[in-house]
Amino acid sequence: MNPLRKAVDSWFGRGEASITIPPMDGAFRPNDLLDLAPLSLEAPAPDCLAATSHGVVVSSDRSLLSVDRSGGAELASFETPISALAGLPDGGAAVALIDGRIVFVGGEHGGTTVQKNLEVACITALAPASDGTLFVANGSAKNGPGAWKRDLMEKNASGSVWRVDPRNGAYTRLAGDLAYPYGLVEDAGSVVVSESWRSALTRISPGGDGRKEPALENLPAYPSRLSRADDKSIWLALFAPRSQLVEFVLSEDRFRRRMIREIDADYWVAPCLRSGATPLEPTQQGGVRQLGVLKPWSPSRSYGLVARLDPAFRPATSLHSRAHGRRHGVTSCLMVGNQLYFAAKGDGVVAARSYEGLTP
Amino acid sequence: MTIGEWAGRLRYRYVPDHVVGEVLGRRWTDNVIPVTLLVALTLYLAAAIPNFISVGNINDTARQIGEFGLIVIGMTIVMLAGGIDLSVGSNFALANVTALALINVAKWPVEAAIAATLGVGALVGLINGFLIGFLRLRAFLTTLVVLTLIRAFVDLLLEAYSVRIASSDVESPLWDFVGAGSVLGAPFSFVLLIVTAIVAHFVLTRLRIGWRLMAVGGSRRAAYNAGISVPRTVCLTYVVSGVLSALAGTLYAARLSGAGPDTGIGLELTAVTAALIGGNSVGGGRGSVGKALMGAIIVSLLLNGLVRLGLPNGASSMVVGAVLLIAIAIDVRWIRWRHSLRAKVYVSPAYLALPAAPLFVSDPSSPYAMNDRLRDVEVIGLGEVDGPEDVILDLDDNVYCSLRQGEIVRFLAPDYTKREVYAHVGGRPLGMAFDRDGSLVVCIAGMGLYRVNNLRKVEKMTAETNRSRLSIIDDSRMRLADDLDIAPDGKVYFSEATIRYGFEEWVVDALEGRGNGRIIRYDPATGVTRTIIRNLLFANGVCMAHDNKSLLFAETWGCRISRYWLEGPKEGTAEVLIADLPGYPDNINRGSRGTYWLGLAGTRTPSYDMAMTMPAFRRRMARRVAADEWLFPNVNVGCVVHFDENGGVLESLWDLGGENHPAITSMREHRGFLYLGGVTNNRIGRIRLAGADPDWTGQSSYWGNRR
Repeated sequence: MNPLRKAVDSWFGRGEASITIPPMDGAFRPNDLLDLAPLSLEAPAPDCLAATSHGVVVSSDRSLLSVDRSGGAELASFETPISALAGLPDGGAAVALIDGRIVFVGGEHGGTTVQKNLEVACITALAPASDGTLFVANGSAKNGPGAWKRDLMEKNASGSVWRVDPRNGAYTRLAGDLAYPYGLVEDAGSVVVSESWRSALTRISPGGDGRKEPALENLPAYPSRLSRADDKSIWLALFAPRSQLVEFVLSEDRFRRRMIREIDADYWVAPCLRSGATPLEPTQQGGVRQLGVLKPWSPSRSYGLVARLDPAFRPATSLHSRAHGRRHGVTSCLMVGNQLYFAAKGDGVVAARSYEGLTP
Repeated sequence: MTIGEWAGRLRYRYVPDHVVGEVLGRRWTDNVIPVTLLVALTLYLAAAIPNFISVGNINDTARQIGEFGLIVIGMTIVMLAGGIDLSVGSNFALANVTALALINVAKWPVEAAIAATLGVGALVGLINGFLIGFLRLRAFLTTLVVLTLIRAFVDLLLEAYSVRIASSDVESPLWDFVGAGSVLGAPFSFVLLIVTAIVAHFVLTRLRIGWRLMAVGGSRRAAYNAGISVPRTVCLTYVVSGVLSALAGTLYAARLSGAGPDTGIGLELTAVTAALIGGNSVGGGRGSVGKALMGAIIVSLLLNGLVRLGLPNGASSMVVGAVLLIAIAIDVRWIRWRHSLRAKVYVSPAYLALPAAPLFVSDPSSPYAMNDRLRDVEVIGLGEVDGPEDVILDLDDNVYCSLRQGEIVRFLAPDYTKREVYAHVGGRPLGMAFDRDGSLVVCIAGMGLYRVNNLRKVEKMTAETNRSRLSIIDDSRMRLADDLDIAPDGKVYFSEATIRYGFEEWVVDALEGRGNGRIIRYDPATGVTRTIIRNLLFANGVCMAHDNKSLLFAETWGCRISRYWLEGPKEGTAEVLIADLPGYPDNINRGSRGTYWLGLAGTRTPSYDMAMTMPAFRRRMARRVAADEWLFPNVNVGCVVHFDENGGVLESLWDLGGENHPAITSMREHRGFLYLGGVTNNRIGRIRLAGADPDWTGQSSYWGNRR
């Protein structure tokens, strides 16, 4: 390998330094299935879904809401916003709060609170392990869950995955140096984590130093929560699309730093859960409305995407809400029975649809 | 500001990046290589050979160049039409023998002998031309065969006449003058070459036959389809080449009076080399007589220099061969390289720091504060119009709009459900205004300033302005005439958004953010068009002030409105009226009660404002990111701003979500209503104005209440 190659490539913007993103094709062929799903619940910011003894619940800001019951009855509320949620096998739920605590609701450990670990300040996902412990994803060592955009723009890879024992509150670190782990699922003794800023799923093997190997790479969007269906297939929510412009900005260090320093995060050239909220947001040339219509394929900083992976973590099919859709920023999805629930945080919507007819 | 930023600002202010792309876009850049070569060669030979630049040597060389240059011009003319003439060398030798035989042996008068010699050359050319042009034989093979045949014929002639030529003597001052005479100190043959070159250049660039010849060389098929007689044109080039070769042969005969078997051997290769190294294309259609001359001088100097440097015999042929190879390589690579380099460097973003934008989102007390007042707009012609950039109303309340298809469509009052094409003007009509007699004056992108008169006849007003002295691209033509207004004396003031891009590429001009726009004045009384303001950041809306003493104009990328004084103490100067708009201004029009309306086609965004201060970032973006993905101002949210004579903003009308009226580019107040147009919309909007004068119309404001 020519040592000059990298410098030359980055100067001319070719080779390794060329700006490319995987196309939405194959299993990721666009459709409008998310927009066609019947509405279950409208809430300010529905984030994480879980199946509990109360049916399907969703976290929204400080509350846990029932999705199945009409009107979204509040099941529990907390003093700080919820950052992650997991349904436990015993019917209870584990709730992570943005201050770093994990509170157990219902079930065997109901009422238990695992106190904050100083090294785990950004809990983005929880998942029950088969041995009764809980996997915890810590998105970043530098930023809280609300500052994910900053974490991406700082190009951090400081996240980690932990195991916590609800009985004694002891944390064990499984792996570090992850680029914003944002979803977890246990798979054959190991844990698979979605690394958002790498647009990849990574398998972390059990053991002391947590050997990491890729499970799925080159996703066309930033992955978040993972869940497993009864048929062992995996459902993956992808919360924002990758775009050539954002990848370009990530490669432009001076612009990126000035942007972080001088501009409000809402107006950054960065992915988001819902774009077009104010006219101060950046737009792209292809995103110009023509004859009153926003084309579904126009470049957008937000998108709705849920993917079904087979048990070997290969993409099988996907459901979309495209640029003109109203179900953007899906941070969580869950298959219960034959119903696929998803929480579009960007548009404040939880919806569900049967999975019939979606098999590839 | 850090020192780095300050240096960057200076660099982008004073280094004219955009010039590189513009230079590469001009055809005369093809001359760069031959000129460099010529200068370098001359300098080298002058340094290496003593007395190289002496009067005697220059005279000698010039006389040889005179003969050789004629052949190269002939060769170039053949090559311009897409052919090649290899028979020039033997034709040259034939002319030499013919002239000498007629004058020395047959004792013809010199004039008659020269005429006959030229006739023989023309005949050889005609044979070539007939075979290649009319019988469509391959030029290369045909002229190669003719070369051999003529050479054999010359050998026969030499056998018969060479002794008698050598043994006789001619007493003719005219013949001596042709061979050794001077005109104003310059050798006769060189003067003849210059005269021939001027005539040939005039014919090629100014006469119909020259254009046809170039067209045939550029594309035979297209030339044929255009009705040009390809065989005749091709044939003619060989005749010209034959005559010029014969002329060169005659000069040679007069100079040396000797006929040998090696006369003109290898001359065809030298001539092709000269034509190519001058920058003429071997494929035809591209080249000039100037290039031919330059090539002839380069090759002559080179050969002459090699002889003087004392290189062994075969070396000069070798050098000619090498130069030919290089010339062919350059010919093949140059054009492609030039185009790809130009595509890379033409877009050259500039440094543009805008003043801080008003807080139109977060500050409700700002006159620009966002509201939903345009949400209740009535819609006219929904889905029936494609991009009504401008709207205007006549005194009968009919609405006219300029559409993408090159049409001006009108909707008839009072209910605006019936539509008709008022006029098909072509191009992309943009801004419109009615003049005193009710003609509709239109700015048309890609065409210029046009008028649709009362009888709906379309007439050109102007499409050309004065060329700036230092502009590299031809800025006399109009690429993107945008908006106009008419003064009481009939003078039309109109904007040209950018001189570097056409309408389809206006987005690239946004990325560039350089002052490429201008305001132009057309005076119908004298027919004179003059550029009055230059270097504007996308000159857009133009509006006469209510008192007609000044002109308001908008600069879209500059986010500002300026006033240009037409009379009074500040006549001829411009001053900024509103410096910090929250968005990108488009058209400006008069409103009732002495006010003005301004369309904001989009809003400023912090990210784009920052990118405008980072030209290198934008340049890399333009090269590495697909155009659809480029960072762009937000043109999905429209706004109309109402301001007074002093630039004070009275109110603004927004469409918050951009649902009803994204991208407002124009608006007209008319009898208490405001009519809205948008360059990317499929509708015209109409909204009742609360505080407006219900009787006010634009027409009466400009021309009084006459019909």
